[in-house]
Amino acid sequence: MALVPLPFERLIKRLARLPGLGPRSAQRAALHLLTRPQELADILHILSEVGEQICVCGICGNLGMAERCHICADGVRDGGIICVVEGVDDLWALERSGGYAGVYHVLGGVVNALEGVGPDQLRMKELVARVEAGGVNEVILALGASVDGQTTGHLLAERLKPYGVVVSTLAKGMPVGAEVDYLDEGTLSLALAGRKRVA
Amino acid sequence: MATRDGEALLLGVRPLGEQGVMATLFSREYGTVRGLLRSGKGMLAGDTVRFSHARRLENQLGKLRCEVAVSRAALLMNDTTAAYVAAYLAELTRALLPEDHPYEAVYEAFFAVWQGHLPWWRRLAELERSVLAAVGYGLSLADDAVPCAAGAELCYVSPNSGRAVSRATGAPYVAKLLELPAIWGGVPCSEAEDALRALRLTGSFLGKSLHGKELTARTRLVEHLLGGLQSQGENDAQGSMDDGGFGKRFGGGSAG
Repeated sequence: MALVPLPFERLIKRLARLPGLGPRSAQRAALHLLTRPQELADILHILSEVGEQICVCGICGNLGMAERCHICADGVRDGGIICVVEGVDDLWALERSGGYAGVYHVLGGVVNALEGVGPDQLRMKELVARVEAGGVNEVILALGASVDGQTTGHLLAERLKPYGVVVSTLAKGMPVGAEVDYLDEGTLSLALAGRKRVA
Repeated sequence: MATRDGEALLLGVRPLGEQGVMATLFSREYGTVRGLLRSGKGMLAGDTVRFSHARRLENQLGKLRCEVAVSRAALLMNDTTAAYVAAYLAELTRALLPEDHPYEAVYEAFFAVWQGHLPWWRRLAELERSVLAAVGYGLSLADDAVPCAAGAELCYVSPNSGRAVSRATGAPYVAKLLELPAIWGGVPCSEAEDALRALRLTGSFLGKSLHGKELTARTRLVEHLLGGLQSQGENDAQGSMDDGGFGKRFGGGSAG
């Protein structure tokens, strides 16, 4: 006879596939929910609500509750600047910074040769179409400072070249709070190359 | 517990959990090595690392410990060509070279790509020639495939045997033969034309070794390189390259 009932085992296996959860933590979470029926009912209700109400913005790829997300629908924001991010979590991080008043474009990943992710699997065509439609002055590439992120950036820059928009990228170099002797030589070279005049 | 260590080129990292990554390395002694690298979020493809790989059984993935020996990634990220090359090396390794098999010549060729001073297209062509030789598609470009008069001018390469063919021998089959690049003993021509010849030649044999499977990172890189040479040629006062046929003759940059 099986140690745990089959539906419970299926729940554990499904939970274990979520990011940040392994089989043991999935089992703990499943046990926690099943021994607290009210909490389980709450979560079921919330999940069903999220599934029904949350949708992907048809313009930028952000998550929202309407066809246009609250950022794209905000008339105060500068639609002439598009900030390209890898995922919705990056968009939220930039929003938390409070230093950006333009709109976004969520690519949905970066090209990755080892994983076989090519440009066609990303929302690059949609970005080019937005720029082609006009009214865009600058595209900011806020992609990860990894080789894959920057390869994606170079690829986008090449595709946007014919439209004459300014394509910029986030600064690279010393992170806030870092000490010089802890930085690797590559990052230090970038920091030196991108130095700013202070006086 | 079997432990392996040495120096390797970091080809790629895939996030796993909060801080861990699945890293793919290419080392001289063991070829492609994959393993779980805890706290490896800061590791970047393109760097040279000193690694230690431990696993209980041969069919296990194993755990890696890495330390950056040469930090190259931060600089190559700013260069479009270098970033494309890094992606291509990862793709080429994944597609063509089995894991845990040493390819010393390929390892040397990978490093030559980063350390060389030749134009990018030449480094790429030389790298691909080394890779082809390592996987059994070596090109024999010094002698005519068909014995004929000594000193015959070598102009073509047989797409079947990978051997050079002289102008006289190849004349009836020109449409089927590949052009021998000047860098490997062919007829002198412009740099753009030679790049096209060399990359078409290696691309043709890479296509064979991959049974026609396309390498998208290569397509991107080659288009970028040839596009750069083309615009350079257009800017050149003496440049007389035939614009219309450039992309078409390369066949869209496919490996095949």
